[in-house]
Amino acid sequence: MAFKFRREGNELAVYVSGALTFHQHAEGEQLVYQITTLVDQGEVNSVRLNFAEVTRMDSHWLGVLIRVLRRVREKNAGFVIEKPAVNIKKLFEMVELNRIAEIRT
Amino acid sequence: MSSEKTNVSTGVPAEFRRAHVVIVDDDATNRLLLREVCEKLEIGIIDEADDGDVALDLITRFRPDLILLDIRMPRMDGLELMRRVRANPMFDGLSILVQTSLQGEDDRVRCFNFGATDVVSRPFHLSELKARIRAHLRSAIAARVLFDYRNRIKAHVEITHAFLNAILPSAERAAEIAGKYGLRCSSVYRPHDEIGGDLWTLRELDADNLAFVLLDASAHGLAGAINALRVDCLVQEYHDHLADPGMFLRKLDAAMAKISFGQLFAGAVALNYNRSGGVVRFAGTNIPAPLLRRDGAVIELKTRGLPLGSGMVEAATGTVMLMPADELVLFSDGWLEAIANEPAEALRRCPATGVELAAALTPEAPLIDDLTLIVLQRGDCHGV
Repeated sequence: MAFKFRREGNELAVYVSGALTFHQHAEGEQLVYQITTLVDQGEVNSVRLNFAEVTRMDSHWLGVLIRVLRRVREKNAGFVIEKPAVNIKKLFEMVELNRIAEIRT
Repeated sequence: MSSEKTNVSTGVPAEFRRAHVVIVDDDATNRLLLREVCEKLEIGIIDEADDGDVALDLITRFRPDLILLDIRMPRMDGLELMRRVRANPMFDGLSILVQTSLQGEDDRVRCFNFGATDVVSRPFHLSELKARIRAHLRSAIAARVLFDYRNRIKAHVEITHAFLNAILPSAERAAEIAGKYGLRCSSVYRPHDEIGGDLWTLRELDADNLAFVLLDASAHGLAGAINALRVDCLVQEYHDHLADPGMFLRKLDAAMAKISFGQLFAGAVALNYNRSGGVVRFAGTNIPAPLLRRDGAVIELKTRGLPLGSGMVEAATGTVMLMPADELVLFSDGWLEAIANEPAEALRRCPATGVELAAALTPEAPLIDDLTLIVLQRGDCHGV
């Protein structure tokens, strides 16, 4: 997996790609650290994760997303996941992630 | 791996001081010469054998890093020694450097065919021999470090496996307990990596009520097993709430969120079967919907929701009647990833029924995730 950051004003766009599984847990920690640092410092007030290039995701990464989401919400910042593939969207539906995060298809 | 440094004045790696070399040669002068080369390399343990029998005894007892082997010897010769050593998997990776006066290409090829790692022909330059010993010893030591590491990890996995086995019900034990409540229970538990993050349990609440919990903790392998064992401790603590599965899951979620610092997540389904009314009360979150097959149709029981550990689980308890011929299938998402069809479609099409259903639904292909699959059916059904 890989991720790229892009700052667009007060919004942080993160372009995530590849398979997100337990084997990428180190990258997951990096992602949590980098996003929460920017949000904690007040550098951004909204986070947008672009999932267009994500091929697979397991429950470990659901945990990663929830950790990011909780920290972002604590700072009253916005959080959006956009363009998940059909299989990822099904996973989000199974856990009703839309209850706590905006999912844009 | 060793972080010790190379001896600056001699250029010899520090780990050579713990290395073990066996010199096998019937000629005492050759042995002395080879010993001197080894001593210059600061090799810590140098043993000598004047024939294959003595050498085999030393190799078996001490599993050295490198053998310096002559071919022509009385009694057991070098080729026979190599044949015996290579036949024993315990000595996989052992380096054998043959030094021989046999000059022909065929002779050297024969040495390799019998298992030599390398062959040097006599007379040899001492500096070349020294360089070869050094090169083979370095790779032998690296292989030994990996071998030891693999064995340590294997021991850790075996211990964790025993811990998990102590809390997982065997298929036979589960069937026996379920039988007391008028249920037929068949189950399959297949971790992806010898051990895993899936866990399931059944619990006798009282004479009428039997509860089941199937959970899938985040991560695979050792990390998954550790997470599953952590969650199991909380399951033990909150099992009194299993009469109301939704309440049980909410309690579990809150407790996990409190202790895990956002590192421990799981999906789970909990259900409680009441034998008097044949009623199943169930709740689930972040786990595929359990399936109920009835008259050839398949009904999904709703178990959508955020992962346990998020602190935001709102699992509500649902109720369904288990009719005499119904089959209720609980499974972790390892099954979803192992089958081509939608789960409901896979179950609808499966020709197997009753106690044979769990095994029939289990894919033969290697898994990419842990898989638990449990089939429940009333014992008073007709047929299977």
